[in-house]
Formats: sequence, structure tokens, C-alpha cells
Amino acid sequence: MLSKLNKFFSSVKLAIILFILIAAVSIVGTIIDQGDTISQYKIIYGNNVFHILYWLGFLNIYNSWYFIGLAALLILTLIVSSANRTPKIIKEIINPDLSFDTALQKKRFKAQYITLQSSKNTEELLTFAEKAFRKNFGNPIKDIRNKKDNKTGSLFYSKNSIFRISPIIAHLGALVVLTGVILSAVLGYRSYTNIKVGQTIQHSYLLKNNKPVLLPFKIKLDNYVSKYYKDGMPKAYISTLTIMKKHIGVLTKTIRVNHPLTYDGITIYQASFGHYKPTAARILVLNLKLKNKKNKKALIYATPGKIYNSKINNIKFSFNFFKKPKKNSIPFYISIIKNNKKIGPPLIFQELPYKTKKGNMPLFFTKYNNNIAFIFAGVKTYYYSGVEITKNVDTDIVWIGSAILIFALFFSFFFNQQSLWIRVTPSEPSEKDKTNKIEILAIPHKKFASFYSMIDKNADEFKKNI
Amino acid sequence: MIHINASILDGSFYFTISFLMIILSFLGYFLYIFTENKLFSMASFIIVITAFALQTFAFIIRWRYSYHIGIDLPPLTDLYDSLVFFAYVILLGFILLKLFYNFDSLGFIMTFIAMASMAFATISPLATSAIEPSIPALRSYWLLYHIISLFLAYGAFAASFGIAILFLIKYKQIHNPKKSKNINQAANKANPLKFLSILYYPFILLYRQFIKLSPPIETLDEAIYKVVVFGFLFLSIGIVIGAAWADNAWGGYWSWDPKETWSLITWITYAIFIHARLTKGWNEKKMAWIAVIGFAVVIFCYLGVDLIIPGLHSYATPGSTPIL
Ligand code: HEM
Repeated sequence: MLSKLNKFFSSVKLAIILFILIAAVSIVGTIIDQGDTISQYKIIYGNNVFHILYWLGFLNIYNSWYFIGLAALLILTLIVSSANRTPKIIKEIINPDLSFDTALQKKRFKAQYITLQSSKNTEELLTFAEKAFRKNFGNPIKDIRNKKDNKTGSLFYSKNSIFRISPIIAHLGALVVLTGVILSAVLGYRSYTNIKVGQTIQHSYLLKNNKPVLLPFKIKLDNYVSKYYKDGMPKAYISTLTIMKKHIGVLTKTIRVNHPLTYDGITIYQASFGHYKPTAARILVLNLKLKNKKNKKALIYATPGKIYNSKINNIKFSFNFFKKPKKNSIPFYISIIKNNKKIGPPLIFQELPYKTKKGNMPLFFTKYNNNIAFIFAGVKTYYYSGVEITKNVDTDIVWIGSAILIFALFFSFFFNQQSLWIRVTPSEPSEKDKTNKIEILAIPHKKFASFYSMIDKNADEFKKNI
Repeated sequence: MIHINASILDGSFYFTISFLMIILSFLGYFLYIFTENKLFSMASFIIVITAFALQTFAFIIRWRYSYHIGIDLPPLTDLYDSLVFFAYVILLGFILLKLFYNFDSLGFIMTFIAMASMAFATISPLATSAIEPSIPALRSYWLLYHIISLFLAYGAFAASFGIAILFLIKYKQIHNPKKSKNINQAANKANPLKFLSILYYPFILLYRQFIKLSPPIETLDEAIYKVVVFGFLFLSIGIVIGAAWADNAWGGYWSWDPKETWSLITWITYAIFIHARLTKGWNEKKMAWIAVIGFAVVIFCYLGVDLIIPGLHSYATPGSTPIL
């Protein structure tokens, strides 16, 4: 039973089937957007289809039980097949089976087997053979010659046999990578959050399921700027962040894409930026009567419809939009309020021939009774910086595994084992003309045409001499 | 409106000239296939080498120009550059293969792929040769190594596809001689006056000539394997560099972005190829088929994902808002 399971899990066929299934599941994950919100899915697919997709696990497919299960099975086959084959291969490398006959039987389908006849003696023939094959095979690792009667003899060559461990190391590398992946999935997290300029946050949301995580410190966004090329393409997004512990800033640093900030095992990356829909107008209130400059103006962020105190003669005002704005006219106005009552017609704005310093936006102006002037100076926008917050786990293990894998791939692919036997046996004494039988058996690890033609070429050279 | 990409300043003019040269070499290989006259294939190969040299020159011009206008990175990020680079590695791959194996019939397929890529780059409205600054995430030297390894892999997979096509044609003839005889007969019988036979006659002729001019099937089999494993090695390197870069830039080495996922699928396809050799009953023919399918996966990973599924790595939407 155990040996059957063992055989099942070390079969390359199973590995190929698992590879195909993993690829198929991955394709589904690229067709259906992963990680959207439920309401987005309901808009895209409709309620019923959404429920089916949800039930199938298609909306978070790379965390589904079957995807993880397939990966686990692949890891299992990797382990079982390596464990099964490694001792055998190491034994073969250290202590190769040099027997001509077993090799001939076992590797028949790959072997190049040539027989020749010659009347020359064994010693001579083997010397010629050594010469012919030296260029491609070097020196024989085993040389048996029966010096006394000079009748039988054989040579055994083996090239690159040590590189038979490279596939084993490649599989080991793959296992190390997968182990690293599992570790970082279990121990770390990736999350994101948006921070408004001036805001302090302590929660972030997991990328995979939007669940909040509590960070071990608070993060305040001090400032955010985007830099642009001349043609308007963004060049850099730069956020200035302060890490706060117990209300004390412990570290202030700017981050931008490719240049994150790491604190306490947690790394904060600049990911995106944006602004919330503007909710307030910037209204500059000027006291036209006052000569003294100090209290002359005040900046008020006015949310439409709300009442604000101008602090001038106890006059209150509100900022409003016209319900049905006329074409080509300014769509907002100021109402003056006294004793909770709107008085007078709406104050219509006019465009001033100046622009704001910062955004180069037009300024709009209106006044009340030559007492107060209101200047509309754009809207108040809250920029936010989108950051990704990652709990770092040592990913080094992934990189080490990758390096092992890539090196071993190189050696697996380009250094192949090749074995060669040459055996000379005298013909039966009963036969009349006394000739020697020469057998050449060449076995590559991979069936390459170039190997066989190389053997043929060497054998031809050998033939010329005998 | 169709706009031909050609400007001396940014180097695209030279690419356009090299495109014309590739068309010429393709025609040369076409003539070679039908006439079997070695002169044509030799001339074509010389043109291919010249086109390759011209493209090298054009890349240098383009790189210098991009530094000149203040973009401190080699221009490899948009669709135009990437298509041109794709054609470039395909020519390189073909030149190397030709030196090792002396495949003339492969020239027909390889120059065709390079030509298609150059045509897309030169004529398609999606591909513009203007060098545009890239989004902040791409402003990194990791990018250079990431793209170069992946394109070496793509080029190798394109070559293995070409060889696998030759293999499959040859295999069919060897293992199914009756059928190919029928095709021969059909070719002989084909009446040029009949409209249908005019349509398929050239293909039958092409098929026959391929059988005649291709190297032995064992050589093709070996070449497919060697080219694929070369590609697999560089695909692995490219994916690892991309992952290390992503880890460095935004905190996760893998985020199942469609392009990433498709590169994994490509990797898996060729991992199956490598292991198929070890499974009883999966002969060389199956491996050649995997090489053909693998290239379709590569093309989807390279272009299909961008044109169909937008994501991090989009080539097709120049200047699109950065979605990181
Ligand atoms: C997950 C990633 C895997 C990678 C990167 C990988 C890589 C490789 C490589 C490079 C070779 C050498 C092929 C050659 O030289 O032509 C190989 C051979 C092999 N692989 Fe895998 N493999 C993986 C998974 C598996 C799995 C799951 C199995 C399970 C049965 C498996 C079984 C084998 C066997 C039996 C060989 C033959 C080794 C030999 O030629 O001595 N591999 N693999």
C-alpha cells in the first residue's frame, strides 16, 4: 500500500497533471478580476452569477482551498519523488555499475551499439580506441586489460556523471522557493490604505480580503506632492510620513515609488494617490470697511448650504449652488443671512482678472453693501496618498531558492552525462579465422542526435586504424 | 489613420529601414524554398545580419536620444519598443541557430515572425515610436534586466516554435507516408484553373519543400529541446528579477497580476515540456506540440494580456493612469 502511494506520488505523469490543473485554475483567475469588492462584482456579474462565482471560490481563487490543495500536492510529489530518486542517483554517481551487459540491457532504447571485427590484438585495439575517443571522452575511468594472454579487455568512460545531481538540486531549489512562499504567506501580510493629508491612521486593509489589520504604530501623512513631466505625465508621487508611537513622532521620511520606508519590520510603499470629491469651497471674506490690515480677511471653508459667520457686523452667509444654473454663468452664489433669515437676492459672482497663486485657477468675486467682499478661491480638495503596508517576512529564502533553482537549471540543461564502453572479446576458438570482436556501447542521458553523430564520427576514426 | 513610425531623431527611421530589409530577406527565403537555390538563402542571411546590425545601431541612437530628452532609462517600456526588441531578439536567435545548425528553411519562419512584429510596430496605431516618459514605477534599472531576460526567452520560444513546425511537418511525412503521398498527388493533380486549388496549391508546395529542405528529424528534436531550455532558463531568470523588483518597489514579490500569472502559466507550460521527455508514451511529437502551444501561450502572455486584460504591465495603454 505504502509503496503504491510512494509510486503514485513520485510519478512524473502526476506532476504533469498537477501542472496542467494549476495552470488552468490560474487562467480562471486572470479572466475574473480578483479582489474587487462585493458591490463591484454584483454590478459586473449580477446577483445570481455573483453567488455562483462566490460559491466556486472564483473571486479569490488563489486563496481557494483547491488551489492551495493543488500546490500542496505538487510539493508532495516533489518531495516524494526526490526522496525516492536521490539515494539511487547518488549511489550511481559514487559507485557506477560498470557492467557492459547490464548497461546494454537496461538502456537499449537510448544506446548506440556498434560491433566491429578485427584481426589485431586486444592491446593494440584498445590503444587505438583510446586515441579515437580521447578528444570527446578524456581518459577512461576504468581500464581492464588482461595483460597475460592479451585476449579480453574493456574500457569504461563516463563524462559529467556528477551533473546527474543537478536535477535533484533544481527540485530542491523549487522546494526552497515554495517553502519561502508558504512562510511569507503565513507570517506576513500585505495591506493597503489611503491617508488624507494631515490624517493619522492606525488601520490598514488586507489586499486579499479587505479585512482591517491593526498596525503597531500610527502613521501620519504630513504632505503629499505629485510631480509631472512637461506633457502632464506623472513623474513622481512623494509622500512625507511620520511614524507615531504614543503620540510622539519617532520617524519622518518621504517615500516614493521604488523608495519605501521600513520601520519595525513593516514597510510602507507609495502605491497610488488621489483626492476625495471636494466638499468645501474656499471663501475668502474681506472686510471692506476696515483699514487695519490685521483682521481684514478670513479664509472660510464653506460646505454648500451650511451657515457661516463672517465675523463682520454679525453677518452670516451661506455658499450655495443654483439648482438650475444658466448657461455660461457662474453656478454658485452667496446668501446673506441675518436672524436666521435669508435677506436680499443671491449675490452673484463675477470673474476677477487674477488667478490663484497655487493652482492658477480663476478667482470669483462678489460683495454685500460695500461692507463685505467674498472671493471664491477654488475648492478645498483633500489629497490622499495610497500606501501599501507590508509586514516583512524574510523573503531571502525565496531568493536563495531561486538562485539555487536557476544555477541547477543551467547545469541540468547543458551538462549531460554520457557513458561509453568499449569491449574486445576474442572470437570462439572454434571459429577458423582468429579475429577479435569489438563492441562499442555509448549511452547518453538525453537522446541527442549530436551525441550519436559524435559517436559515429569517433567510431569511424577508430575503424580507419583497424 | 495609419501613421508610419519613422523619425531619424529617435531612431525609428532606421527601424523602419530594417523592417524593409526583413521583408526583403523573407522574400529571399521564400524564393529559396521554392527554387532551392542557395544563392537566395545566402543573400537573405546577409540581409538578416545587416538588418540586425542596423537595429543595433538604431537602439543606440534611441537610447542616447532618450537620455538626451531627459529620460534616464533605455526605451524599452512601450509597445513600439517592445515589438521592435522582440523582432531584434528573433533575428539574433535565428543568426545563432543558423551558425550552429545551418537551417535555411527556418529562415522563412523566423523572418516571418520578425516581419509580423515589425509590421505591428511600424504601422499599428497602438504603437507609437515617440519616446514617452514612463510612469514612476517603471523608472528603475531592474526593468532593463527584467525585460532583456524575458525577451531572450521569448525569442528562444519563437525559434523553438519555428523548429517545432518543421519537426511536425517532417514527422507527419515519416510516420504517415501514405497521407503525405496523397498530398503529393493532390499537388500534382492540382488544376491551376480551379479557384480552390489555386488557393491551396502554394501551401502544398510549401509543405513539400519544407520536408525536402529541413534537416533530419532527430536534429530538429534536439534543437527544439536545446532552444526551449535556453528560453526556460531566461524565463526563470526574468520572472525572478521581476519578483525581486516588485518586492523592492511595492512590497510583494507576487501579486497575481494577470501578466505575472500568465508568465507563470508560460513557465508551467515549458516545465511540462521538460518533464514530458521523461514520461513513457510522451514522445518527441508531443514535445514538439508543447513547443507550438507554448509559443501561443508566450504570445498571449506578451501581447494578449495587454490587449485584453489591463493590469500593472500594460503596454497597450500608453500614458494610462498608474494602477500599481
Ligand atoms: C516545481 C518545479 C519543478 C522544476 C523547476 C523541475 C525541474 C526539473 C529539471 C530542470 C529537470 C531536468 C530535466 C532535464 O535535464 O532535461 C527535471 C527532471 C525531473 N523532474 Fe522535475 N521539476 C519540477 C517539478 C517536478 C515534480 C513535481 C516532479 C514529480 C514527480 C518532478 C520529477 C522529475 C523527474 C523524475 C526528473 C528526471 C530527473 C533526471 O533526469 O535525472 N519534477 N525537473
